[in-house]
Amino acid sequence: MNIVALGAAFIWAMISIYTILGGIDFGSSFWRWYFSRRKNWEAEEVAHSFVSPTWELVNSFLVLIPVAIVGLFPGAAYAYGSILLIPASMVLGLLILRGAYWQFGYASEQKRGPIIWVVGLTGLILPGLFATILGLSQGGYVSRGTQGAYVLPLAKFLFSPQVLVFLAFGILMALYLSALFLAQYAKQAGSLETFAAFRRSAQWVGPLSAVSGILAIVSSMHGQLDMSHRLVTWWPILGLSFVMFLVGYAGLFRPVGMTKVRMSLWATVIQLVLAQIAYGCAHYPYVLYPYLTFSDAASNHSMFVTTLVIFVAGFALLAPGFYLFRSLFIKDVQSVVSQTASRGTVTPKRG
Amino acid sequence: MVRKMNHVEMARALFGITLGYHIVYATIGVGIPLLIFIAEIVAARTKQQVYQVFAVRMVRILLLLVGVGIVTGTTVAVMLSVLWPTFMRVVGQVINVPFEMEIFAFMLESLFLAIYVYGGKRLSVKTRILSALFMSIGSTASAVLITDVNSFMNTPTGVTWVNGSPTQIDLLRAFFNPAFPTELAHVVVSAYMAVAFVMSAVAAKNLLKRDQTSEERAYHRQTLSLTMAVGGVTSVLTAFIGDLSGKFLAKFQPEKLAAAEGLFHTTRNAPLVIGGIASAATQSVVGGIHVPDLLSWLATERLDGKVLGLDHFPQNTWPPLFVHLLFDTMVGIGSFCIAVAVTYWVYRFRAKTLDVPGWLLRVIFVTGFLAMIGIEAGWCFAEFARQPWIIYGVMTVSQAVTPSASVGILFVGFVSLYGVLLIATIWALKRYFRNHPLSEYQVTYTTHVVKHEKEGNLA
Repeated sequence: MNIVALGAAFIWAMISIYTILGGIDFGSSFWRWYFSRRKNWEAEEVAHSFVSPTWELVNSFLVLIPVAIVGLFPGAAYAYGSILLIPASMVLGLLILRGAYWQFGYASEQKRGPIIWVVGLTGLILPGLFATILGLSQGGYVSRGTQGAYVLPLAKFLFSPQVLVFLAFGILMALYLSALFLAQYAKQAGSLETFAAFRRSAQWVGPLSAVSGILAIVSSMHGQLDMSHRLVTWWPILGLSFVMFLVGYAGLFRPVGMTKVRMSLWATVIQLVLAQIAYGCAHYPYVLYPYLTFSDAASNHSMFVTTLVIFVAGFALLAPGFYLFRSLFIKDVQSVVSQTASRGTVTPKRG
Repeated sequence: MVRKMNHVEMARALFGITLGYHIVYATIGVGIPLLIFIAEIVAARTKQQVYQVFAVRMVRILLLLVGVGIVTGTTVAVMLSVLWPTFMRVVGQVINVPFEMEIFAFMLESLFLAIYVYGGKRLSVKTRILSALFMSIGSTASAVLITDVNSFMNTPTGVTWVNGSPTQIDLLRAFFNPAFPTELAHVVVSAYMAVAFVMSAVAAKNLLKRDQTSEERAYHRQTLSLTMAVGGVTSVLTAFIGDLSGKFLAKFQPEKLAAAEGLFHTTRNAPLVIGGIASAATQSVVGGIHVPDLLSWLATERLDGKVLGLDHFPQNTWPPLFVHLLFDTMVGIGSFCIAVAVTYWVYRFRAKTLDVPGWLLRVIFVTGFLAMIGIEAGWCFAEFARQPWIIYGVMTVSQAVTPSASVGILFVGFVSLYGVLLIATIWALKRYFRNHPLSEYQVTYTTHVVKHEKEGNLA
């Protein structure tokens, strides 16, 4: 494996991690809204107690990705930067609204209503918008104007059926993953009724997310990277991914008391990771088909290596801090458990 | 040509507004951790609970502002790539290292902020102080690293340019570029200073209220004393470093210094002109106070030292002439802050009491706002006075801008978004402190901290 491929794998790994963390984070805030509309306050509280402590961490992970891309593949940052002004600004606008409403929620309990729906609605749309970038990267939308500048006809992009499929896939995937996560979370807290509510949600979103995922892979337009054929090479990984989906989904249909939702959750995480590995391998070596490959976009050798070293060293240095935080958090949770057990509210267990 | 100009200016305006907005949050985010650290140390030394309460209340402000700062910071990071793609392509090859390290510095800060908030009373005094220290190191390192990219834009070293493309790149020399030491020191110390004055303005405003209990007055008097001490020391340091920055400009960016001082003609015994309007028509500063020889002395440490004027440079690379006013606003506010701190301490030593007369409290209250305006003026000066360059001498702003049109619509959208966000921040801060008055801490201090820890979950 040459170093450019290593860098590409690194970026793709960070995007995969963000897909899972962000999917759970965004989806949970939607479920919070959904259950507050149905006046299922316990489920609302489960979703709330998970999202609150994690969104800042998830958001700082989001910043890692563009910064890493600039250091490793400045050509890609240039190409996507020149065409994504409007779409990226839409995403930023939603993120700003979401983050601000979260923060202001701490100041006042009385404004809960608008906070829940703003955070929930932005949480619903954002993963879909992120997923549309995959459609964009497969080519067919961007053209090169005079003097080699990249041009993206925005209307053609936003209203293309394929992009809408990616949008739906991003949304449904986040909803499925987060419903599973929250079901497991509720079960840990010993709240079976809430667990059943999230399990029901997962049961109907699951197949929709799988179908939209398959549609997203097979839908390719003229002039695009032919993903469905390129993926055939990677069929064992893709097949295993599908098996993992079936395992996770089937696990949801055992009687409530016996459901091993933790197993379903992990099977689904593995399903996603495998699917992303297959997709990433089939997409390589293109960053933006057909104009840009990873090696064209790569930075000079010293910046490339330094960037990789900084990221590895940075995570290694911060690891003890995260460990200390986690141990504090768990102790804290144990004390909260006993205090809130009588009220039936939920007790987070994860750091 | 006209359309192109509009496009560049729109992009500059959008990015400028975004940064100008983010700078407020970022500056407070740098200053408050230091104050928390100092308050924790003073609390441990003097065993006075007041300082601990001060630290706890400042953490609330920090939590809120860091939360908003994250989203505005994300906006800045992404906007850099979508508004200035050509610039970022160069950054990605030469000076991306500080950006990368900054993320981890930020994570360090949030991590120890979370530990500090979470741990609450369960942490030992030593751990609390250490957490505050790491928080402060993280936030200061963030500021230093981001400033490093800016200082590279002023003095791009460690790279050879062939037709505008970077070759023979030396990452270390780019990182430790000549502007780095003075610029980072100036940015960091002035942020400490501004936040100390903002917090002393809060204390002054509360002392001016008539309905305060004697405990509340005692709290505000002591926080005023603490913040005025920090503000006094840092304002003097800021002036000292500011002077070094001036000497640095004389050597490395003489064009910027000439514009800052409104010096049109290269000359020995250059006078310092305070205030006035730099006019291209008369090739001089109209109005203002002229102090003979002072500029030569400040720039070269000799009364007859030669200072390069704007006439030394082609007129199409001159920065806009109004930067002279921005520069004088920054220096004027900085000097005023020193004067206020000196007045406060002279009064305190003379009167031998913690009480401060109303007129001085009013002045201190206004100084809090001025200090923040000073920071904004300083950054505006730094950026306008590098025009037309985005990387000094190498790439102009119009070469760096995105080819995408329609920046105008975005401008309207983002400006309204920032407006709403600013109002909401103030609303949330007011709301929080109205719902959590000081009495809550003193009477039920312990129970509050327990509650506080639980809120830590949410942070």
